[in-house]
Amino acid sequence: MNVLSDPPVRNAATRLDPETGVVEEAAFFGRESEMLFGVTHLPPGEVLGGVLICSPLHAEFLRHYRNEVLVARKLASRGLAVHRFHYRGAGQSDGGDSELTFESMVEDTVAAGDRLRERIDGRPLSLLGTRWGGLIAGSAVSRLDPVALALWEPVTDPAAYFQEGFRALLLHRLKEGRPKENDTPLPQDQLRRTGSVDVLGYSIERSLYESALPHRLEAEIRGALPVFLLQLSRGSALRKPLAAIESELESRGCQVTTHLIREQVAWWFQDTDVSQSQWLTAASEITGDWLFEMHTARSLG
Amino acid sequence: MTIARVSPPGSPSATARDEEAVYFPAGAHQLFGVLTRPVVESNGCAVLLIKGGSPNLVSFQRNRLAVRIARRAAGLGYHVLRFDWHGVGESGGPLEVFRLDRPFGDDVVAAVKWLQAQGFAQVVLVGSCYGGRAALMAARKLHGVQGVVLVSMSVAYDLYRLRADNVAVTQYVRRGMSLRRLRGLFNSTMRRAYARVAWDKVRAIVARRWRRLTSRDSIDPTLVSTDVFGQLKHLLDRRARVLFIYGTEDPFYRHFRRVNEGAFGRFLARYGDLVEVSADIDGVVHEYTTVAVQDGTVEAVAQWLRHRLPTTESQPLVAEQVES
Repeated sequence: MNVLSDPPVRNAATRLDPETGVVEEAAFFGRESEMLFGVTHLPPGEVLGGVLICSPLHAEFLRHYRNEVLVARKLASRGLAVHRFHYRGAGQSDGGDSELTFESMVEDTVAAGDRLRERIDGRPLSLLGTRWGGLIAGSAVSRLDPVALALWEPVTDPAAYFQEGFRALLLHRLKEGRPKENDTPLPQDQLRRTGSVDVLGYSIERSLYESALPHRLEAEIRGALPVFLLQLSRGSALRKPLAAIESELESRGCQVTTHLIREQVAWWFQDTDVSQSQWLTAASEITGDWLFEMHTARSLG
Repeated sequence: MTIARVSPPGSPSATARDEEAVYFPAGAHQLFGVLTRPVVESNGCAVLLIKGGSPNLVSFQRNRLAVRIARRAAGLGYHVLRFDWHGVGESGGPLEVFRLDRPFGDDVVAAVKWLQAQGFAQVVLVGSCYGGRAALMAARKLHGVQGVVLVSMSVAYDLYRLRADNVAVTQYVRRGMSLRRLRGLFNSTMRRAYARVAWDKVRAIVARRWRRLTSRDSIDPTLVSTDVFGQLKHLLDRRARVLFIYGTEDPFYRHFRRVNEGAFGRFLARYGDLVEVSADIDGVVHEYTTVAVQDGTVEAVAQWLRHRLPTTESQPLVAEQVES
C-alpha cells in the first residue's frame, strides 16, 4: 500500500518512467525568495523509506548528473523514495555564485531532507552523497539523523578538492597550448587576491572556499551510524584518506562497509562516452543492496 | 555586423519563482524542461534554448548559462524553455550518439510543438554548436520561427572532411611516411581508416576543381554542409532572422570566416540585415569554458532579442507543421 502525503509544493510536473514504473515529480520548492529545484522519485509499490541524494559541485555536478537520475530510478524501483535537489547557486535553483557556501548547502540539504520526510510519512531516511555531496551529506547527518549514510568517492578535505579543480584548469590550459603567460597568476593566488577564480567556466568564490576549508569529512559525521564507502580508483587498496575515515568512524562505533571499483573517473572533465558506465551499474547494485538491507533492518527493528 | 554590448539599465530578471518544471512528449519519450515566464509584459514570443551535444550537458548547461539566458530574456518579455535531450538529464529514453550530421531535430520539433500548444505561435531558437544544427534541422519542419541564434556552430558538412580540406597533400604524404603509419598498413581497420582519409582528400580536391570550372556562386559542399545551406535558405526565404555568434578564437569561426569570403558569404549577403554575425567575444566560445565567454554570450543573445525581435514582418501567426 502506497501511503505518501500530498506534495506541499506548487506546480509539480510528473512523469511515469515506463521501464521501472517509478513516478517522478519535478518542482521548485522552498521560500519564494530562495527556491530550490528538486525531483522526487516515487516507488510504484510499497515504500520502505527514503534516500536523499547530495550531489557534487561545479563540473562534477554535470558529469554525474545523469548517473544520479539513473541511480534514483533504480533505488525507487526497489521501494526507496528518492529525492534529488540542486543547492542554491547551482543547477536550476535560485541564488548566485556568492551565495553558495558550505553552510548554505547544508541548510539546503536539511530543507530537502525535511521535504522528503514529509513525503514518506516518517519512514526511515538515509543519505547518499557523491564527491562534494558526500562531505555535505556527512555534515547533515547530525541534523537529519538518517539511518544510514552512503558515500561515493567523497571529498574528505575541501582544500584537496579545490586543488584538483586548479590542477584541472592548468591541464586544460596546457591542452589548449596556451603560451606561458608570466602575468597569469596561479589559481590559488588569484582567489586570494581578487576573491574569485574561474575554473573551467565555474566561478569559485572566496565565500565558498573559506567557508568550506574548516570542514573535514571525519569530523563532520557525528554519531554511530552505518556508513557505506565507495572508492573508484585503479588501485586495489583503499586510499589513505578513505582508509583514515574508515578507521576513525569505526573507532567511534560506526559500522563501515567499503567497496572498491577499479575505475578512474576524471570528474572535472566531460565524458563523451554514451554507453552507460559499468562502474555505475555495479555501484548502483551494491549500494542499493546495502541501503535496502539498512532500511529493512530498521523497519524490522 | 556586431551587436553592441550595452546592458540596458534596470532590466529586471526572472528568478525560480517565475519558473516551472514541465515534461512534454517527444515520440516514445517524455522530455524534461523548465519554462521561464516573463517578469514584464509578455511579447507573445517564446525562446527555446537548445544545448550542445554531450551526455553530460543538461538543460541548465555549464555554470547555469541557460538559466542566466532564460531569466534575462524573461526580463525582456519572452517566455523561455530550456530542455534536456532524450536520454540526458531528467528526460526519458536511452542515451544515443550525438552526430553533427544527424542531430536530434525531432526533440526540438517536439519542444516547439509543446510551446505552440501553450499558445506561442512565434518562437526563436537559440542553439549551441550541435544544438544549432538541431535548430536548423527542426526549423525546416516548423512554422512560426522568427529567428535562430547559432552559437559557435560549425557550418561544415563533416568535421573530418573539414580537416581534409584544410590539410595539404604534401602534409598527408609526409605524415603517411612515419613508421607508425606504415605499420598500420598491416592492420585491416587502419587500412580502411587510411582509405577513408585518402578518399576525403580526393573528394575535396575534385570538388574544388569542379567548382572552379562551374559557377563561382555554387557552394562547395565539402566546405559548407548542403543541409546547413538548405536549412538557412529555407529560414531566410521566410524572413526569419539569423544570428551567428562566435568567439574570436573559435576554430569553427576560422572556417566560417573562410567560407564567408566565397559563395557562402555572397549567399548570406543577399539577405541583408536578416543575417548578423557577432564575433567579438574574446576567446573560445565553444563549450563555454570561461565565465567571460559565458557572460559575452548571454549579453549577445540578450541584445539581439531586445533589438531585433520579435518582428511584425513575420510568417503567419497560425502555427502549422510544414513537413511531418
